[in-house]
Amino acid sequence: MKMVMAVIRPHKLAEVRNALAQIGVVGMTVSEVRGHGRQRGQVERYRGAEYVVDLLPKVKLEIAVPDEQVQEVIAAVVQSARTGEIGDGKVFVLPLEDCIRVRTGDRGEDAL
Amino acid sequence: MRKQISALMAVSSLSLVGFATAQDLQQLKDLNELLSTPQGLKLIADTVWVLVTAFLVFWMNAGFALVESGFCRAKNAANILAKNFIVFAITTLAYWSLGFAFMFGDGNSFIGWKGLALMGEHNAPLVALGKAKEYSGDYSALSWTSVPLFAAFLFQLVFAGTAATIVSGAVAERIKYAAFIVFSFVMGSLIYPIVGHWIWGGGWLAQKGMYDFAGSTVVHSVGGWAALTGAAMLGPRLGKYSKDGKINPIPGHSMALATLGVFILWLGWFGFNPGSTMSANPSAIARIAITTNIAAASAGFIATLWAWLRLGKPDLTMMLNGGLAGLVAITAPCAFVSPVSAFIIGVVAGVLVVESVLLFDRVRIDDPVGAISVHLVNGIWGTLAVGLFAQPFADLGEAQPKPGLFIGGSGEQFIIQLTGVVAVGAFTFTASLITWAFIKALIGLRVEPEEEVQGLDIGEMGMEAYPSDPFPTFEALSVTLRVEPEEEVQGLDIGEMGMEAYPSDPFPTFEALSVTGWERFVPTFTHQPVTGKFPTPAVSELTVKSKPANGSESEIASPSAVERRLYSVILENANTERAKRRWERLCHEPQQAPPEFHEVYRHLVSFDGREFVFRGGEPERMKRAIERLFEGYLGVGASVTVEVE
Repeated sequence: MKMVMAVIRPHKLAEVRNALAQIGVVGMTVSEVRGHGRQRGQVERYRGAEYVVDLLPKVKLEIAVPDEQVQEVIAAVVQSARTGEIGDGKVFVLPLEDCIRVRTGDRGEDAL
Repeated sequence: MRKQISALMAVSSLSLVGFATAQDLQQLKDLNELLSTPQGLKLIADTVWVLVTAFLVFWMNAGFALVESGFCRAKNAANILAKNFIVFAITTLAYWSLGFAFMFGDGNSFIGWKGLALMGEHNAPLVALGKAKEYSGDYSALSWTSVPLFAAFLFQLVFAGTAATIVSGAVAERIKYAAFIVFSFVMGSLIYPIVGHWIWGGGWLAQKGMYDFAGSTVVHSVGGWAALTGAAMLGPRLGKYSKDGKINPIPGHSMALATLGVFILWLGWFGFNPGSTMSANPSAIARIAITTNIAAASAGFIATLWAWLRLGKPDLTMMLNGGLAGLVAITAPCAFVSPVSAFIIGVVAGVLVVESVLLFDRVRIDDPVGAISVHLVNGIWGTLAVGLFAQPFADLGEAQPKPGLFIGGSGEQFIIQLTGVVAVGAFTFTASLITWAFIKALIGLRVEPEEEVQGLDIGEMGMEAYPSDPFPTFEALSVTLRVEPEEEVQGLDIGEMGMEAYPSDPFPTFEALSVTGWERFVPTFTHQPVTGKFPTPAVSELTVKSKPANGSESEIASPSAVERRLYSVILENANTERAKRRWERLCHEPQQAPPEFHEVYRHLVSFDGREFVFRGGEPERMKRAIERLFEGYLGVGASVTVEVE
């Protein structure tokens, strides 16, 4: 089992969720995060004083996935989240040791 | 012991009530008859006018509360709101017991003292009704207005409240609550009334012929000077100014509250300025309402333009401050100038306020809401403007300023106004500075750094304007939930109303969001519109379900199985570094890339220098496209192969 963690642009979330639903992935955890990659952020002003916002709002999805589906999930996320501009985000794949469903107590891949 | 003291206080207050209170109309037996005479009707109109405008000015406290809390951070909101609330309560007590008498009671040119605690005599209404030949009472400075003492008092009280609340904006986010309370009491009982006595209470500036119709000096610059000394003595908020000279913005937490507040203040000013006629003088109050509005509009507009040019964007906070600056500036001259003059006064105010906000930051005086720039700077400008733009109006009677410099007059009125500005400035600056210093020595002015960082809501008020604990711990929650308790926990907004006051979904699902114009070469991944619930079928079920029900679905049905297939195009024996650089270059400057790039980019999943992973598209086409894109970059002996899973 793997945990696929994707940091994407907030406005792309709907599209990514649709793309995942199409390959049968429905369960996920979504959080609002801030971050940046190699580039700095944008300059803003308030009453004449400038400041740099270099932590830009992003959305993070965490999806628990069986090993066989990992490549598919990555492909779905990457293709639907991409715009071609700097700031598109990243996808990380982490090993997942176990998964338990709280309501029934199921464990392992059945619980994904 | 406590019980005995409170019993004693109760008895003494009862005996106080037994003393004679203000006489005027309350003693008249044939009052109803008198009130139906023409003079009586005028008295009624005047009194209703004064009271209604007093209520409008009272409502400005709500405006100040909203502007100040909106311009400051959420963690200090409850504290700022509390300051705005308590300042009016304190001012009522201070002004009622002492301040009103100091300001309008008979005395000398410096201060009044007759009629403390509103217990003096005042027969102006009787004079207006014809029941008394001339004024006899303790507040002769108010003998020119016919309304009952209590109405005049309320009107003046709300003005005092305005002056006091100006201070709370400049000292926000770092002052001790107790320190502010003490200062407000001194302001309402002493500092404000003394200045008011000089200009409105028959004092020496009034005798000199200084005119301040609704209080640019009396209210706004007095508040402004006190705000300046307070902000200076407190010092800037932590983090506002860096050691290297940088000015750091501390954005307010709600521009919505701030904007609403400014509108409320603007409305309140329709009581502030026209009400200062203290009589229902039709042509005067209408003219004053117009000059007030024009100045607000022109100042707001010019401030917008000025900020736009100066800072690159029309900063909303500057726009709001601009509107207020115009209102402050027109406050002194409102009855004495034409609409065109009002426009010009507003234009100057709009520029002044923007520049002074920037200036005060440059000299490291931290004013979170711009109170000093709005009230002090433009209070002075408005006062001087009387000497520049005043022109005679028949409906104002005898007491009017000399014609202004720009209206063909000499500079005489201007000099008088300037004298007043300087005198009031010197007095208020000194008096407020001494008061702040006194308070600092006694109880301290500023909160501890840790408290300032944590937020004054928790430190000073022991509660939060926006309670931040998202996980409240209730024992009840561990009980097995049935339907109704669940709804209570979820919130009745959703359960009962089917909607939310504060919609919490940060990720609204709009199809429109997938078209932004950002996608230059990656056309939107065509997908079936998903309705409401996402389906939970297994992968195989999805492919079976793709039997087209209507025309649009059939386009997608067949490619969906093909689209999902993953395959690779591999660069065998190639120079990986060069390949990676070539790819990076192509991605970085897509406009200059050959058309094959767009084809490849569309279906690409990943590339690690050797293997291109694709989803969708035809493997052979991709292979040929890659060959063309990397011609000359792969090195001798390299080849491109396709690997389908």
